[in-house]
Amino acid sequence: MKKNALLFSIMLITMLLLSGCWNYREIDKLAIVSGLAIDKNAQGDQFLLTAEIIDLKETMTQSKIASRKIEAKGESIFDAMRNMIKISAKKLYWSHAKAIVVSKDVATQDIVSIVDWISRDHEARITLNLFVSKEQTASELLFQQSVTTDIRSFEMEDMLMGNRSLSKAPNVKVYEFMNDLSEEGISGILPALGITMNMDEKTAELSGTAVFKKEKFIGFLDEEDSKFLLFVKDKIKGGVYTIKVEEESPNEIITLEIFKNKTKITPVYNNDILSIMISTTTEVAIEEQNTTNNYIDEEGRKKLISIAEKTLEQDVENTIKKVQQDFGSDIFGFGRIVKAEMPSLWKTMDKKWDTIFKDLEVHVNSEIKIKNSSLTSAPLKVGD
Amino acid sequence: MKKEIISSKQAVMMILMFMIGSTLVIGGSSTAKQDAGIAIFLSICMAFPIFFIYARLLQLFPNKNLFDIIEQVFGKFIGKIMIVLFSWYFFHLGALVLRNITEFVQIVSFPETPQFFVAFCIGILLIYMIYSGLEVLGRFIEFILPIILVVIISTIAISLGKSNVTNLKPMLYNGWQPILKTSFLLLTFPFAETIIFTTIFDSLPAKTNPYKIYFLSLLMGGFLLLVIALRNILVLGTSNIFNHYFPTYSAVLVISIGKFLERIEIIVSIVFILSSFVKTNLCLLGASIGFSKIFHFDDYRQITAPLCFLMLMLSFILYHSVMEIFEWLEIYPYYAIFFQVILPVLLLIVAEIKTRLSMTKKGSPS
Repeated sequence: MKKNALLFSIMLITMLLLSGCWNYREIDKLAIVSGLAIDKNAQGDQFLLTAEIIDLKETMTQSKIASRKIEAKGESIFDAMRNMIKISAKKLYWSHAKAIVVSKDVATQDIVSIVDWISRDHEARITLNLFVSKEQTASELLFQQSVTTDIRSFEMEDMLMGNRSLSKAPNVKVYEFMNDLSEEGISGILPALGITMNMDEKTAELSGTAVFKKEKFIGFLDEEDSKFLLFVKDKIKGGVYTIKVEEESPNEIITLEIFKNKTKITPVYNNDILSIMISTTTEVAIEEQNTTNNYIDEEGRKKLISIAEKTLEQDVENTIKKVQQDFGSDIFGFGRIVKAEMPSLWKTMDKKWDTIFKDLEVHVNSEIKIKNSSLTSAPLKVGD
Repeated sequence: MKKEIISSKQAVMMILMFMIGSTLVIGGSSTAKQDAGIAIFLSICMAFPIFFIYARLLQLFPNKNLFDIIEQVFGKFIGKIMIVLFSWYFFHLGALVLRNITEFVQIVSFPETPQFFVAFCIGILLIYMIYSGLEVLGRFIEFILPIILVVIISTIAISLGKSNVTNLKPMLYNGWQPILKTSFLLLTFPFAETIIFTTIFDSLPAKTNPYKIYFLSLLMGGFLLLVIALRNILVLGTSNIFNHYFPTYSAVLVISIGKFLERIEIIVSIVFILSSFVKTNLCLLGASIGFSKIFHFDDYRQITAPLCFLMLMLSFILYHSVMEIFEWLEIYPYYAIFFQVILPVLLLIVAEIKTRLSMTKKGSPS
């Protein structure tokens, strides 16, 4: 009897414990945020936040998701986020947020506070994607028509994932950006988003790289330059590389698909002069050619390879020069590599690295391996 | 009362669990930055002589626990003082570990739940566990540790894809001083905290070699901590680790394979909670045995429940905020080294002299 009473009371207590958490939140009581756009007002003293929330519409037969937007103002980012409750009535849930778009103004002034909030808040994840808007505001990007999914922010993330086989924008997660910001000898980069026309409708487009110097945004790199930036950073996973083979006929274009790339960067210190050696090894396939010249047989291949290597070297060097002259910001992380490989040398130059970087000599040495020419063994023959 | 027996395999597993306990949660190797690996290696080397002391004590007095040894070596009065000191240390350590884990749970998942509630649930389990006895604890660990190891090793394997070797370089950029400081911290937290096992290893079967248990678990536990620290640096980078309270948690947070294998950090939180639970459990057990020795209880279980609640209370008043936990880590080594090294060395010296003397007394025919 006594044992039964004990058992009964234990069961009662467990019932109390199992019935729920202290501050449980049901899914229908949450406003699930998928993305966020951060702007500043004209005076520059308040943040304007636009959050995209997922609206769950469930009927008996199917469930549909749609996106809704909430706007709020605040002195700080967290303040503005909490102010959204005034409109949404539900507390916003950030764990499923995939993308945060910031305007140029915010990127110039307040990127630190954004990164700080993301790394500090227990709901926001450090694997979020940050974008810089090329347009006037960041919020307009959230209002464009989406093409493949209903949720704008999810599509932004998908664009970055799909970018693996395009390589025209860097895929930088917040924690990687944080590292770049706080390490010496490397500057941060973020993917940039712009608006383009698709079937007569405006839609958002991934376009190039936003370049930072210390914690300030200073400018955009275009898509082609972003590709060569990714070559230097050894982040190429795929993509397309077009070359003009014959100098006399500039219309002849051969398109190579990149399959693999390995980049090695070695700092060289000779006669008191620091220079950087970059060597890339790229595996490609011939995907398209608009001539009938044969570049598949051995002779043609050799020619193609030597020209492709030369143009790639040229292109990478041009991009590096452009960054050195236009931005003067070491987004390639050369300083970080010098620090890693030659720590004692780095200690003498870490203070004046900005000026050293501007005139840094960089040599590129490319190697291209053609692994196949897809399904065709010879170029198309045009008969009479 | 029947004597409880644990196997030597369970003993090794216990020490392993104990070592990864709260060390996994709050790390502790961030001051060494990219040289954390060297720091951990050094602290393992430093732990060897200290583990030798503990094992030697156990070998000199087989089937006796730390408190019996103290009483036998120092006699009633000084012995009592030392037992009080050691019991206080175990009690305090348990409260520290408990606070770490409740703080972690609050920050990571339940920001609005009072810490008292989390601590209370763990406390009830602690009492239940100790009432069930050491053998149950041993079997529990034998069951749970393989799961924990699988989780840890698989998360390490998965996250290696995101690693960046440049994060480990340059070595020794900031000189030896931060490395030595970190290795000293790691020596006292967690390696030398295993002094606590001298209180329960009288439950090992006779003729077990304590050296083997201590050194084997040191190598395995040290290796595990080393690999985890290296993984954190490789994946997150040193500045991220420096910024985050719970680097191991953050490193797992980053894992994302395809789009289906992500958000697995909750599994790692469970590992944190389980291992810290075992660590607190052992601390409470050590403290119970010590205090029951002082007050001449027949069974340490009689004092477990009140001690457990006192431990909960202590864990609430220890710190005001999570910041203070990390500030305390600066002071902790100097506090702990007294219990972990100075007192045991003193004990061993006196014990060696006493046993030598009694040996010669017995050996020489008078």
